[in-house]
Amino acid sequence: MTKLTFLLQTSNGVPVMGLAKNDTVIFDSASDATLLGSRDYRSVLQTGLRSIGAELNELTEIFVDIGPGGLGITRTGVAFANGLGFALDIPTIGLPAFDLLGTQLADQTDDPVVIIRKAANPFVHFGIFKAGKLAHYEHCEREIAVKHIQRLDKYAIAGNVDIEGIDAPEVNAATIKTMLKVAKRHAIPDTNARAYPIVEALS
Amino acid sequence: MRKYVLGIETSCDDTSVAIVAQDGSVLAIKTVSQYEVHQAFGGVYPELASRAHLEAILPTIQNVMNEANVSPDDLKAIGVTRGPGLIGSLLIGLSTAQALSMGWGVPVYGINHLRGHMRSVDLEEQRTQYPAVVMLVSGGHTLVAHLSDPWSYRLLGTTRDDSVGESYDKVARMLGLGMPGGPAIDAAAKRGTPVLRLPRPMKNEGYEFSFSGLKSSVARHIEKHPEVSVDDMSASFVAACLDVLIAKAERAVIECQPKSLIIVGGVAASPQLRDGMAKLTQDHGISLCLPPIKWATDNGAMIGLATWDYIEKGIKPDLIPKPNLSLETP
Ligand SMILES: [Zn+2]
Repeated sequence: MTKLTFLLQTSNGVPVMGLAKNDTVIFDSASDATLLGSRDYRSVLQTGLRSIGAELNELTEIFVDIGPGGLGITRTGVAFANGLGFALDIPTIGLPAFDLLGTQLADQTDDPVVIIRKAANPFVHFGIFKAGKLAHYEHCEREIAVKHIQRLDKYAIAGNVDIEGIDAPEVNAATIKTMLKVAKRHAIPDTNARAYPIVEALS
Repeated sequence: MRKYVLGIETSCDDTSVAIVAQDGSVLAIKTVSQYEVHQAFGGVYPELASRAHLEAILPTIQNVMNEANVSPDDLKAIGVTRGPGLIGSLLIGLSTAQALSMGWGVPVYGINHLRGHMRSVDLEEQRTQYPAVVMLVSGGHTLVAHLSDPWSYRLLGTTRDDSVGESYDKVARMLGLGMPGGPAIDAAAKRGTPVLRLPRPMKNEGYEFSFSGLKSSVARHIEKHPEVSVDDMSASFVAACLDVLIAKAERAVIECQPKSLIIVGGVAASPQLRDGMAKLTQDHGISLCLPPIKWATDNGAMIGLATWDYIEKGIKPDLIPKPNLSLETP
């Protein structure tokens, strides 16, 4: 059976959507400057479907970014993805943003990937991705994250927090191709599966 | 035959969904309260509210559709609150409705929550006679408006600071009466006597309201006289609020000469307010429209019924949340 996958990434604040047929990305909103960052998910998805000559009801599964990152935008992305999965009776599967970012950089380096994203001051989201998976994650004070990083000899870094004395993050978004790669690691659950954002501790 | 509207309300702290026919009949309604989520914070915590909406919204929609035995093919439209309200909460309803609309091929309308409240009075039974004067008194809103028909509203006045419901909650907290403040104060007021003469802010001026001064004078009095009877204090506070609300309603009735006076919103559940307004309408020989108490607070059915007005008028506002949407903008 042909799989038509809808992918939606939001948590870095610049939404990107993709469509993939089996193992191949066939639409990527990031490649069109007029679509990149649009919060009108419905019209971007319609544009994508039109460009590949597919109908909405051909979608077989949805993968959506569940953060951590921008709280509001992650939730609206998840709400849209869940609503669409519900309406089409197909599964909606959540992908943690740190798996996406870690995988994005791990393809280019053998070093561990440090991921650090802004949270409500003085906190950050901090993670270390190595050997193909997120080995460590915590919502912690910035200083604690810095100590973790200083313990590492070599590392690549992703996210959106600039820290003095530490390399600036290289990326804060994964490509749709990477998102599909992460998605492929997941077994496809029942059609009534829905995604929920990573719960951020409230300060 | 597409003869129902799915109404979705997520503007504040309740996730409410209903299936409503054009005549106002409600096939099913489910409201998931977040009362317990916010209790510890002494008020609505916006981040938690949007998270709770996200968890509740699809199961609630599913429940309502099952109970009403309605499928997407039976839906004429989806109506969803677009404002006013908390932006994070509005976004969950709007994004979900947008996706359902796309997936089901059913049009979606962004609805003004205040228009929903106005229409709540005609749920299950046509009660309003036009022209009408409507007073909306709740935790989130206080306003008085003139309605020449179900669509055409003229805002006469709104509050400059706290809503009536907010000041009820704040005074209830000062008096140690707990939450929700409205019913607690009403009950205490019934036992007490309004011995204290509290100020009636803006009672004799136009249609605008201001309740924060009244709340402050309650605070000052409690500070000076900690021995004050909670029941008497409540009775004095309720008397002052009602005095202002009834004076404004009466001014609007005299100026607009309506056929009916409509009282909607959570505070419309107050027995003292209901009695006061009943007397006013009797004196002026007009009808009083009070929705049953279950429709007085935020609910998806009022949004569903308001949606039919938008369908009829062919007005389809965008689905961008409007936290400060006014009554006069659809
Ligand atoms: Zn309301």
